[in-house]
Amino acid sequence: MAAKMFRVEDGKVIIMGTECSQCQHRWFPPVSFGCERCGAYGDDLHARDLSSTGQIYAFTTVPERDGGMYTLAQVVLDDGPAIRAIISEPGPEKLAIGDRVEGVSDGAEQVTFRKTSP
Amino acid sequence: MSMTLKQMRPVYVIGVGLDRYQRASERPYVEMGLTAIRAALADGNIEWQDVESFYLGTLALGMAPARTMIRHLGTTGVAIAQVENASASGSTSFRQACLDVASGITDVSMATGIDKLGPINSAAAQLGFDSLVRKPMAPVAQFALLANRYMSEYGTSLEQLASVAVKNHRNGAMNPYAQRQKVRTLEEVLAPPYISGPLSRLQCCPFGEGAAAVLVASEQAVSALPIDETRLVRVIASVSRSEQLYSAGENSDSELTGSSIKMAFEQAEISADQLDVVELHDAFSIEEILYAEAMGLCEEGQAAPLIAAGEFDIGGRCALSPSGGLLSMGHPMGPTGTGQIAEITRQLRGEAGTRQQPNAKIGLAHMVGVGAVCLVHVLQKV
Ligand SMILES: [Zn+2]
Repeated sequence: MAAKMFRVEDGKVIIMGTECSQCQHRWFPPVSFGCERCGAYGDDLHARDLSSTGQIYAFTTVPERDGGMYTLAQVVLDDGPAIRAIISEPGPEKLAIGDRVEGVSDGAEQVTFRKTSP
Repeated sequence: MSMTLKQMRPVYVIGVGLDRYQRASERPYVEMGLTAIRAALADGNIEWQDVESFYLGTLALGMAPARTMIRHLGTTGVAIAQVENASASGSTSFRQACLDVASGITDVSMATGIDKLGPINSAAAQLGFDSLVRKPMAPVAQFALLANRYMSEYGTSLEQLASVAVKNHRNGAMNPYAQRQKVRTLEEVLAPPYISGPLSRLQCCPFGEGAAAVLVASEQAVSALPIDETRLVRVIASVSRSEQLYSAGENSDSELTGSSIKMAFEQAEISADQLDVVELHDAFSIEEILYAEAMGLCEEGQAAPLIAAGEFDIGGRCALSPSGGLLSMGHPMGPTGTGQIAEITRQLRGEAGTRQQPNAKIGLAHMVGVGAVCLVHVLQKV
């Protein structure tokens, strides 16, 4: 049931999250059955755009079946939630915990992240 | 006011039995399970007719596997239920058996865990809540992320991380029920392939099949039945918790483990330095390091160098994963948590052979499961 999880506006990736108006907790992916922090539901939950900018908390390489490799990271978004993301550039040898990253989309169904700080 | 297990009727482990963990085979689960059950009955010197409730922890066997198996022990009408709690199914099965005896509903109960390697139908996967990662991501990737964060924070070397697997393979090589029974050198553990990040193949647990059974009994049963009272082990804490909301970036399995362990210590009225043997969820080498610290066995950032230095070897301050743990004994899912209780019981009885931690008096079993859940039991030599 892949719900819409992001969109691109003025070349910027917007991550589509959910926010609770009772306790201001925000999360991703956007699932609106109820708030994990306070239990509020229904009209208390609303869509909340999240900036795709954030910081790398941890990263690792994941081998793929075809012999390739991708870099997976846990990214803490500036807007709150921690998400899993693919880092498309640079390669893992040039990445460090704490690096600033932002989402990029090739227009297809995929968002990856790239490093923005030197 | 709710009660802890220790405040209820005393619960004793009186018998344990295993069917060796191994790669997927054609053996029917009924045969595997009956082997473990008969071994536990023989170990406890108990007849099947004395067992009043029976739990089966399993993920892959499908609906209603218990009765199909136990009818071959001679039907008694025993109460049965299957228990599913992800990787902690076998631990939850044990908890249910303990609660029956503690409450007084039964005098003798049996916990088992039995599994074949099969497709596991995850509820979350069926809901399909997606992530931005549109590529296959095995569970190992989550632990590689944790390893990356931990190693960067504390300057842990690849060799220190790998030393967990060296120790656990050394222990497992002495365990006739282990799936992997081979001593591995540091070089062998560090050799490719790398499954994700710093985690090489031998730092990831093998999946397979197996069976484990544990008998628990009340004081009344111990007096009434021909049970050897010199081999008794008492269950002094049982904790079952599920994940709460932690701050972004926090390691939820460590947080959940830390809070569950704290409750277990309070129930058992012990502290971390009193633990002689610990079986924990070392599906990946980094987990043993993280959970040892979450349990308070050492300061944060110290577990890796201490394990590398042999402090948690058999014969050290506390034997960590003396069975070989998930890394070497294996992780057949349903049986894993029940099998931990079997190992700790043998250790506390002084019957662990070449794996024996000298003078072991108190042991702890810890499992986490996807969801996430955490189960902790503390056992004490009587
Ligand atoms: Zn809320």
